[in-house]
Amino acid sequence: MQPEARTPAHERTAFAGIELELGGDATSCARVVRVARASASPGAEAATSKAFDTATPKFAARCRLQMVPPPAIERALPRAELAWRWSGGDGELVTRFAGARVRAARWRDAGGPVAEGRGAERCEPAGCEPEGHAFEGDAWLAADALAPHYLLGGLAVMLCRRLGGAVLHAASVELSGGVVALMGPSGAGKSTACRHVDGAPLVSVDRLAVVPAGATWWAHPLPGGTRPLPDMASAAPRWRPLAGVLRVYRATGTTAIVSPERALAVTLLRESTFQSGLGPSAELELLGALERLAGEVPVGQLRFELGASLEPLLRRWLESQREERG
Amino acid sequence: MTPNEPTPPLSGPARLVQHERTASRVIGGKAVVITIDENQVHVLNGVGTRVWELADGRPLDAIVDAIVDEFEVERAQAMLDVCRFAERLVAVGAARVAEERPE
Repeated sequence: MQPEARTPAHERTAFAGIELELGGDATSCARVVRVARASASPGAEAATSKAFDTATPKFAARCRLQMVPPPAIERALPRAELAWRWSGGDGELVTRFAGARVRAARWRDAGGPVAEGRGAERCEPAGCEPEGHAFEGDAWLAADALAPHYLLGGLAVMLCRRLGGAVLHAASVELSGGVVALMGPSGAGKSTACRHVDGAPLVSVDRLAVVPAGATWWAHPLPGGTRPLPDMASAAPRWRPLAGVLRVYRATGTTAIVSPERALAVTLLRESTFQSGLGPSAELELLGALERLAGEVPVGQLRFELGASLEPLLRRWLESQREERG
Repeated sequence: MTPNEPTPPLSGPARLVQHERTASRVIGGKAVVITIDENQVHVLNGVGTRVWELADGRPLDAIVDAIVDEFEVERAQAMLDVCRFAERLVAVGAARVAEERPE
């Protein structure tokens, strides 16, 4: 891996739900900005351009971030702090994640690339007193994480984890004032199911952040994974209450929702949860968060036939779950 | 042993221990076990959950004793079932065979 150029730069941009203020290494900044601008114009030429530079060498970040939750749920959410590594440059990153402010301290050069991430030295902040719950650890992405939008997607996963939540592999719609997440692996029928919910605005296409705050779980669409598409989310990206989560299956001759027992519900959630580089203790923590989610938000299995109208079925299910839970 | 290698048949003296690269939680009486390196999630039934809880390096003989004590099953059948289940746990990377009981 060639070291990045050390030309200082300062950029402001937005990446779907994440607003970024970047400082430091000019090359890295330029790459993030290029992807962010492409994402801001879905359906345009940029969406299919080479802005998603997946073939260029991996870059990684190191900085210290402080997440301040959005005002609407600030009182209930814990503060979260994230240590993030970026090799090959000093700089500063200030970002807003899904409406939440994220402040960064100065980066300090690690003295060499940490492209592999594992075992990298502890990130020491300079000029920033840590607040809230510190997160220390390796913040690296999967081996194929080459492009900035993967980096930011991974960042969002870690921020959600610090808030006791997770990022679900889910398309989602807004129904009765809440978000219904339709999760599952690629090809399961998430987007197709969304198109079968008549009149419900699309909230997320591929990723949904879910975070607990008091007795309510909140949901926010996230970028990452999927490139911007012409049929991208039609609802404004903001925090909304999470009404229910459904694992989606395509079926023939039947359209129904069943409620799995708790262990299976947690398993379904875990199978559709993004994670990065978890060890046993972090995995255990994630399981705990998902058990809480399964206990506080209805989780079901939706089998649907092409052409079925899912809107009344989802409304009835949400209603019955509300009555069941008092 | 890696999950892709064939599991040798296990018998009573074999010591079963949960693999270090797993995370598990018992939810509603059933263990949800994650094998981290394979990123696979496994849900165990009631008896499987008990075997999992007992997999601390003790011999399968001792696990079978507990199962016979706690469930209505003949010892011979329990031994057969526990050994096959232990082999399955090893095969998916959730458990390993220990030389000695870990401290």
